[in-house]
Amino acid sequence: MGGAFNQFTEIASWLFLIYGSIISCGYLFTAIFSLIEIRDYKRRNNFEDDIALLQSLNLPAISILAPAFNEGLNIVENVRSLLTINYPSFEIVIINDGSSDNSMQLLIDAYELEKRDILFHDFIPSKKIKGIYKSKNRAFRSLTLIDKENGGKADALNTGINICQNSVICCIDVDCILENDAMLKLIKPFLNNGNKVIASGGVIRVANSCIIEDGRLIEVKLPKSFVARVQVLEYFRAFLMGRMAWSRIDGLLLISGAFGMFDKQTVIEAGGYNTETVGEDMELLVRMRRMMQERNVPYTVGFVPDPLCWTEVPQTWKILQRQRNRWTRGTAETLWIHKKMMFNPKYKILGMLSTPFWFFFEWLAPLIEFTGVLFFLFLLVIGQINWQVFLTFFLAVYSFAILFSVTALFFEEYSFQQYKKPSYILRLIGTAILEPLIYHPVIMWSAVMGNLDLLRGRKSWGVMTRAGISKPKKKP
Amino acid sequence: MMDINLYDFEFLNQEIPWVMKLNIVFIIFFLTCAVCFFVAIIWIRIYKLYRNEKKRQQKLLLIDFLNSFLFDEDFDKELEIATFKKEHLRTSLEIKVTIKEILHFHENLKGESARELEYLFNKLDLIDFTLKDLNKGSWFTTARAINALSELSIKVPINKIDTYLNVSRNEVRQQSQLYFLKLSDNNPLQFLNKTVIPLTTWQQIYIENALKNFYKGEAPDFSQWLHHDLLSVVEFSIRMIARYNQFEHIDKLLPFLEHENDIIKCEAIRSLTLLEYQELIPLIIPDFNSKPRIIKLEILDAIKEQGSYQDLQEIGEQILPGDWEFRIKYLNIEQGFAPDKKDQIYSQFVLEKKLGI
Repeated sequence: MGGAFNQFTEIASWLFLIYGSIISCGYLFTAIFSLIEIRDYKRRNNFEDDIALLQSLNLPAISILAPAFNEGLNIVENVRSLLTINYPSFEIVIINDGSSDNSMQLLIDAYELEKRDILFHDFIPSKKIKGIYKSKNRAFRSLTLIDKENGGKADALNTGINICQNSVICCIDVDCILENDAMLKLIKPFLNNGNKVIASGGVIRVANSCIIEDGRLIEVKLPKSFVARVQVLEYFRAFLMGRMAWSRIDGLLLISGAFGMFDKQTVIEAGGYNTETVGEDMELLVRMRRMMQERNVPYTVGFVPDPLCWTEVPQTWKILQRQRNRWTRGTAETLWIHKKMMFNPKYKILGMLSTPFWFFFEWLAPLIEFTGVLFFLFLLVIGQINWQVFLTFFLAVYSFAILFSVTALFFEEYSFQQYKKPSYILRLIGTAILEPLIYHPVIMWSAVMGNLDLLRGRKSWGVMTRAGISKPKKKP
Repeated sequence: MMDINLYDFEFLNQEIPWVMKLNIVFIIFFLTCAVCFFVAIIWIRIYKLYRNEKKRQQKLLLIDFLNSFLFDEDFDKELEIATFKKEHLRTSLEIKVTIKEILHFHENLKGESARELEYLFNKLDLIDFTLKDLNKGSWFTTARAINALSELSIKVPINKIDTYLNVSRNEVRQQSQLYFLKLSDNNPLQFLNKTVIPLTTWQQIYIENALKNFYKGEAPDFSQWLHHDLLSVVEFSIRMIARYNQFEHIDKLLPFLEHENDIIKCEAIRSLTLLEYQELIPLIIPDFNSKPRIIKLEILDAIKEQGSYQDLQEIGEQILPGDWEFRIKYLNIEQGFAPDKKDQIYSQFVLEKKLGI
């Protein structure tokens, strides 16, 4: 019995070690690819200034789709900020997804909107539209407001796709803050590529505690709350290390729902956003890519490393847990829907690398980690812990976690250096040291709960209360 | 507790489980890397601060120098240039900032002042630095050098630049295209004859932008590239014929309405519409239903711009009931032609939708 048990613990230890080593190698490769991509991008932008092109009439018109649900607190200012986007030709489509607050009335009053009879067809099925509004005031002619029955973010975006006028759509969160040239930078991959570009995404940054004035970012500040501060590091890791690398090998599976640009026709042909999943942004891109691969049409997905969009992230543990729970469900649902792609050479990089990576290292990682914790507790209960081995193992994992964050921070310093104050660096290093001990267990637990909720059949998003982005005090 | 000294690596020889040895090696490796990255972060921060300060100082110096050079009549140009060269163009950073600042000034000045800056660029031997950059071999220095040469209208032997017209990097190709365009006196798009790699839409926008804003000569005859081997060049030429109102080439555009490539067909329809070619509509309406989607949409746009209600109705008969995209576009145009029927058209459409016709 003792021999068999020892053999079992030995095998389990080996498995954990092998898994950890593979995941570390994966991160090492993404770091290398990202570094090459960032270096190239920096060099590319050393002598080019595309801003002059904003005067050009040749840039394609864009439809900016922004779903809104109970955003009454800031909706008027947010829409005003969207209307000042620096791009030659665009329309803003706000989709009121059955809000129960006064957002509709606020918008109608602020922008002199009136109901219009607009012809449209449900190319993608969506909930009933109660009315489409346009402004009487020529100054707001690029604004369209759609009032519809509540159906969730995916359904709202589908409605926007059905009604918008232009062939390129940009799906954004209504409260996100865009950089001045965000649209120009995001459209560039569509126009500067030999292959058809079906989508492009940009880097999302954390806006908490930053100074925002008239919908423009005035000063980048590090969030005051620990929870938001860790997410600054997480976003560095995800965008500067993860997505940059995946973009380099054209294996990107996710363009953030907060800010992404798509070819409308391809979206419609793929069937639009899936209303049955909470990970609609990832699912849409995977479905579009899968469709293109199956049709054998050469295509690509663009990614812009510049920080183009600033968004508010959860500041409290409760909301953070809800968000991560939902992300886990979204990932699992997407992987399940597209399980056919996994290890399928027909889908090339997507089948052989991207989907397996997401399965083993994004979805499975927290479950394996949780199993490891349970295994440790089991050994603890039966008094079989070798404390020296445990401590060295724990320190190895812990030091790797710190290394990973510090590397991401290095990438940020090397590339965009948005956090100018020297004290921010020290605070971020401090956050990186605390993160594995305080923050990471919560994330792991949320992911485990997300999987449990998925098994229980939970489909909801959960309430995502926002604290609001900092605004400078008005001068007397 | 076991006595382990991590620094002399003696522990590797001690009688401890292999897994512990491995973990300790990992800890040392990870922490060392983390410390290295931390040092690198601090170094980058200090380096960037130092570099930015240097840049700022050099910029301030240059602003003074350039203003005096351009606008102060008592300024002893030859002596001051020699002094500046000796004292402030010693490092690569100083040279780069100087080039950038001269380019910046050049962008905002015209005529005699711009010529003066070109003279200064030459006198400061910055051309040599740029040519060295050009010959360095890495794509980004090449692109940067061509950019500087074209911005300052510095002519170098053609063969030095035209080798870059067909390289694999988009950025280098684009800069060399702009070089030829900006330095040309009479045929700014001659480089198209040597181009064998398709132009991206982005490059086409850049070329058009540069043609409008930098090229001062007579507009080229765009029809000379209508039979270019590259479809992207043909597409660009068709578009430019319309943008530059070259009505005399309308006849040459007509065959492109039957081109095998849909994008070329679309561009031809769009350009002929812009040129207000009156006989266009009868040529494109027949057989509407058998045409590909993008052509159908382009035809509808053409009718909206210069067709009649009757032309539209002719198309309406060909649109199938389930073709919602065309039906909606058609009805929107119809509402424009017959504003008094707007409500009626809308109600009929709603009814059609309800009945699923």
